[in-house]
Amino acid sequence: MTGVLVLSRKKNEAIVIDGKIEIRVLEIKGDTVRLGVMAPDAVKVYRQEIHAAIMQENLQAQVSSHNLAVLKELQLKIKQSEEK
Amino acid sequence: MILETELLGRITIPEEDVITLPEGLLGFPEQKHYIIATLLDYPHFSCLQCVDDPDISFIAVDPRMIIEDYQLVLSDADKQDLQLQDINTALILVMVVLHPDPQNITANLMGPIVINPDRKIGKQIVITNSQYSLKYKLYSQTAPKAG
Repeated sequence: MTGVLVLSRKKNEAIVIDGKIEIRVLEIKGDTVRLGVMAPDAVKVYRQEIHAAIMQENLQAQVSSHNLAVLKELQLKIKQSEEK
Repeated sequence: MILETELLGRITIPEEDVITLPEGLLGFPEQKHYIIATLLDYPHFSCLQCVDDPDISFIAVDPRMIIEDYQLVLSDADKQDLQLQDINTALILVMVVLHPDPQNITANLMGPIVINPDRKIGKQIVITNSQYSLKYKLYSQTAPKAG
């Protein structure tokens, strides 16, 4: 990625990315902009914060031998609930 | 193949067991090869051990063990990437985030890793249109069954 492309759009105007992704401004209300995204199925479109949140969970899910033992109690509880 | 891992120690892994995640995991785009190891002391959990970097290990769990009817809809593109026809044949794992207080151990039900066990291909899927939690508390939810 080289820099940021900044451009202005009015309501109902759109931009096209790579000939196949269209992002249209549907509504502007206060500080909220509603966008319509048309993209091929293979193109993943997420709210940025969802993407970031899952990345954050992955980073936190890294485990080392030092903290594995905290699973002990949970494992026991699952086992007990299965036996009931 | 022999791997010197921090979590599991020195392990020998058959090359045919290596699962390739062509896109890596979110936040780990460079690490594309993993194995699923069993944890003898914690049989309900699995270890997702990175092959490319033996210091990277995750604890994961099958979400269907937590929520019996855990639903996951794959897009056609996902199915194509995984060369998967039927989701029921897939292996599904969600990441577990450990915490010193067992009450606060969570599983990320929004970002399951779907694996085609025949083709050894995997992919982390982002579920956006569901009620599944990013931080599902495992301890309080595994309440003993009524009785």
